[in-house]
Parts: sequence; structure tokens; C-alpha cells
Amino acid sequence: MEIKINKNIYRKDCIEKVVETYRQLADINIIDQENFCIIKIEKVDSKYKNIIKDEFCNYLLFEVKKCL
Amino acid sequence: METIIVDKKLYSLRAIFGTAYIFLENFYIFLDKVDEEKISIQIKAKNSEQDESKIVDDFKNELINTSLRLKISEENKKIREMIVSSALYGRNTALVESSKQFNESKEQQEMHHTNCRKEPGDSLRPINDPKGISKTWEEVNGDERLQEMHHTNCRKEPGDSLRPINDPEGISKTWEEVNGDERSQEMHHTNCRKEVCSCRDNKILGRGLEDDHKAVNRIFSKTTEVDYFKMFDKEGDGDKN
Repeated sequence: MEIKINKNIYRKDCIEKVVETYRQLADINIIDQENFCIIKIEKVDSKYKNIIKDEFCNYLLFEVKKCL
Repeated sequence: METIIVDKKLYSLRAIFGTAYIFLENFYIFLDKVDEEKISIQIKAKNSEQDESKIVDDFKNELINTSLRLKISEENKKIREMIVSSALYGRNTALVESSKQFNESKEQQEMHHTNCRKEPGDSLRPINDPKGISKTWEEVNGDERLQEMHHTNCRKEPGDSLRPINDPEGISKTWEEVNGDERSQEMHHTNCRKEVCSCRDNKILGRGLEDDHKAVNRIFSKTTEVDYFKMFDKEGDGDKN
């Protein structure tokens, strides 16, 4: 499962913070590119498999909004 | 899932995030860039029962609302900062002034207590006493000998012959010392209680010839003109000459 996040919209430090939070639920890796961060989510518990991607994005939006 | 495309020239990124935050409870929202000036907002309902088509309109309205609120906030930023800073500055100034006053009064109090503990004859005076109010009478008007005499007289028992040197009018003298012995004092008080003061008593009191003449004049002033001529007209014929 992959999420392509635009670094011009979401701040990098916020992305890293959210990734650290979600690491206890799944194996998460960050692939840093020029304008994007690609978040790879693997080995997710079956309970959260359907919602983890959307919840991750919501939580990231909340973190960025806090920083603005 | 619904997608809204928003122009960054019309709505700032802050306004977009602010609006998206309001809908986080019931929707999944994800932002992405379409190009340099446009942002796509993907909205997905958490529950399938919620109407996603309606949320698009609500989101757009809320986007205007948030954008306007931010604009007003920016316009009033200086006024807001000024009010807050003046309030804080005024409070700080008041605190500083009150603390200064407290320190000054404390210093003055300490200086006063220091001077109070000084021995007599110390030459040092408080620096905040330019008129020399705290100086003693002796320091202002006399030498040490006078000062010693003054303190000696102050401690004397009643009846001592020495008087304080600073009593030129003899205010502190007793009645006996001014007017005579005890016997004459008693007589004086006895006569004071009499309704009419007799010439005899006046003589006893030693008031002298002048008082006697005054008493005679008082008697004559009370008599009428007729009575006056009667005194000289022994025959009673009314001859005034």
C-alpha cells in the first residue's frame, strides 16, 4: 500500500511525525523524492487494513494544520 | 469519493487546511496538487450513509467562510497586537512602578531605623533631611554644656530649684513660685469664692491703694445723681449749689 504525498502541501516534519506514530500499527517506510514523499505501508493488521491509509492522511492533515 | 479543485490564488493553503479540519470528523480528506496553482481536495465519507454530493457544497461554503475569517484576522492583526501589547506593557509598567516605590520606601525605612540607632552626638545625618528636621534642639541652638543642663533638668524631681534653660517666660513655674507662699495662696482661693471682694481682703491680699480707689469708684458709679447731691445737702432744702 502506497501514499504519494506532495511535499509542497504537507510539511516533511509533519510527515515524519505521523509515520513515527503509525509505526506501531504497521511497517512504514518513507521514500523521499524531489516533490513527493512516498509512504509504503506493509504488514498491516487486518483490522486496520481498510482504514489505515485514510486515517493516516487525516492525521497528517491535522498535524499540518496545527503547524500553520 | 468527491473531488474539489481549488485555485490557490482565490483560497490560501491555510484556508483550505482550516476548512478541511472542520470536516475531519466525518470525512477522510486528502489534498494533492494538480498544478502549480490548483489543489485537488478528495473527500470520502467515513460512513456510506452520508451523502457525499452534499458535502461538496458545504465544503465550498465553509471554504469561503474560513477564507473571509482569515482575511479579517489579517486586517485586524495590528490592532489586536497593539491592544494586547498595550495591555501587557501597561501591566508591566504598573508592576515596575509599584516595585520601585516599594524598594524606595524600604530604603527610606532602613535609613530611618539606622539613624534612630545612632548615638547622640553622631555627626552623620540622613541624606534625605536637607532642612535638618531630625536635629535636636541642642544641636541647632546650643553647645554641649547647655545640652547637658537641659537633660539634667528634664530628669529633676518637682520642687528642684533649677529650671530648664529653654523656659524664658517661666511657663513651667508653679503658682507659689510666681505669687507667694502657701498661706497667701489659700487666702486667694477663699476670696475667689466670695461674691463681693471686700477692701479688707484686698488689703490682706496686698493688692494696694489702687485697688481700693477702684472699689470706691465702683460704688459711686452705682449711685444716682440725686443720691449724690443728697450726700452734700444735709439740710434737705434742695440747694444744689
